[in-house]
Amino acid sequence: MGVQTAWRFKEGSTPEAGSFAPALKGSEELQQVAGRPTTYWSDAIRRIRRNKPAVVGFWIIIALFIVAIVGPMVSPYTYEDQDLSNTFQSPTLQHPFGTDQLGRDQMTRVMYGARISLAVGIVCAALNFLIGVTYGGISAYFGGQVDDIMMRIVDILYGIPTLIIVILLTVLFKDRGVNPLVNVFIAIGLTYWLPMARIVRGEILSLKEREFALAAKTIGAPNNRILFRHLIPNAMGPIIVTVTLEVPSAIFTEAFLSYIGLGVSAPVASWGVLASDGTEAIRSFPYLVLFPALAICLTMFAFNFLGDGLRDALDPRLRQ
Amino acid sequence: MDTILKVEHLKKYFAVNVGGPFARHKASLKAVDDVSFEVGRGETVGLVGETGCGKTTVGRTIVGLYAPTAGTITYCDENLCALTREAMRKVRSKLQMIFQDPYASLNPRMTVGSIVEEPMDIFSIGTMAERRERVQELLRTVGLDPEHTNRFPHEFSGGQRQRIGIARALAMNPEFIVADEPISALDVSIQAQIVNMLEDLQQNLGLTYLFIAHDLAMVKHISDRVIVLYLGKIVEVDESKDIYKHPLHPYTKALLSAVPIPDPRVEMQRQRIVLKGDLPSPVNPPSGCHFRTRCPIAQPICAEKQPELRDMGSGHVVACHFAG
Repeated sequence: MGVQTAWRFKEGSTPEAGSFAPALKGSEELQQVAGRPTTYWSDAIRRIRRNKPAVVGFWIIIALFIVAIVGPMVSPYTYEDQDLSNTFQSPTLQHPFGTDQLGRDQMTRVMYGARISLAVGIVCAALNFLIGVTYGGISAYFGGQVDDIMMRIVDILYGIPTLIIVILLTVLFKDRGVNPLVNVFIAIGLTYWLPMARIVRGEILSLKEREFALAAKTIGAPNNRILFRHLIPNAMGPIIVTVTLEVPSAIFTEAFLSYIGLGVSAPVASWGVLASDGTEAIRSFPYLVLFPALAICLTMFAFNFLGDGLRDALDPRLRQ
Repeated sequence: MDTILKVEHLKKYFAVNVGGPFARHKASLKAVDDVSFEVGRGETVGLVGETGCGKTTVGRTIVGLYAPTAGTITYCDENLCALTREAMRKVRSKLQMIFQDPYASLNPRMTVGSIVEEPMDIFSIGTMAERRERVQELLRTVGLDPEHTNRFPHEFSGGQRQRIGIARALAMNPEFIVADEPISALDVSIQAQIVNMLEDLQQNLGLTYLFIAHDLAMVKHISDRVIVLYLGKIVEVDESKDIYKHPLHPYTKALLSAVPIPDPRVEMQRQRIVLKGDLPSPVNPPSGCHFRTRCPIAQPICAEKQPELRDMGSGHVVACHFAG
């Protein structure tokens, strides 16, 4: 073994020539490890940090959460307070986004709409994890006929448009005092876990033939342990990417359903409802449709940029 | 010698689709076709043959990763094929496996400590502290630093990973270990370390090995007996010290002639028997003797009659019409 040299210097400072000196034999410096070896996740985080749009998207999502939670609490108005003497006001300091046809503060309503949109996003992500991952995992792990039957069910559900499900649910729950938001949740719950189930199935199909899965079997691990402790954690990369790309699409579906009048209804303010109300007066008061539309756009961009960034960062084939 | 494992008429067929997109039909791939052998307690049996001859399938069927198509596997007077899932899970702890690829056989998301601890965790053996102590002991047994329990597999080299895999296999105090080409993915200098360690472990813990390999020199070193497989069938079985001197089956002769000799002068004079062609498809094996298509001494009888395994004395068994 040759004499190893251990050195370190502060970031940004260039060490002077001659400041490098061999470490003393037997000193602890010889044993020093230069840095922690890179793991899959630390490597992914390093790569996503260099992806500017993804970082911006990430911070927009964080800001959105803060605004949605704190915004309506600190605002002097509520989303349903009417002020009929101040209708259709242009943006001012009192009402930065203006007021609507009933004198409600548009900014508070947009911030409240963010709550609904994010609630939809969270429900979608949770269902993806609970139903999509488990369903796809079980289907692939047991394979054969189980797989055939479970995947045909997915195919059938795939064939039913979300719109039809929502219309059917609206008819079904009409006049029964069910919150219309629940309709939207059920509709999204029925359809949005399907892509996840397919992606997880594909991942598990290839992972289950790997030797560590066989090793788990030879040490006597029961099926659920192999699936949930060995296989699914190793499919986490594609799962996270799928969730971040599914969430904006669910948020958009809610906005769309509300826009055409099938989602939440007045006085609750969802971005879709606000945009729909605003369109009616688009010629005279375009700012009423502008702000909810901007909010929808910003959210879509943020989630999609983050999702694209995650996909690039977690895909081992794109590793630099 | 007391028999620990008895394999009788083991068959393992896999269903495959053959033919083009229009004339598709189901066929069976005969990975293992009527294989019988016994393993004595404390013995090391080498299982050799070229890629695709069914070595790994035999090993995996023994540890219960595959359900056999036909035949029985008797382990300590217990028929493994007739056991329920739950009973099988318990017996499995005595029957362990070491895998070929140390890069694929460890879960990349688990720490070394939890990988080695997992078998004990599954069978709820001991308290947390006892298990942790046992993990340290196991790591020391396989020559790893017990302080490395919190590291992940990717922080180790191939040889070290293989040691982790061996520690995991040893966790449940097994009696029988199927080593599926445990050294073929390793560097030559590391191969010797691992083989020597396996030998030490065998002496200290009284283990029995079924050592699957294609490196005949290594098999000669570690095995007491050698089984030669060709296309899912046993062609020759003998004590390893004899088979290398007096191979009887032409396939064994060809295999042995491929072993390089670490002496350049002798190596120059080595006569190689080069087999013609490739291994025939196990979906549609040749009639009669499976080896006849590549055999240098094949005669018309080989295509008609399948040679039975014949005892040539002192446990030397061979399946060839012209042996002896």
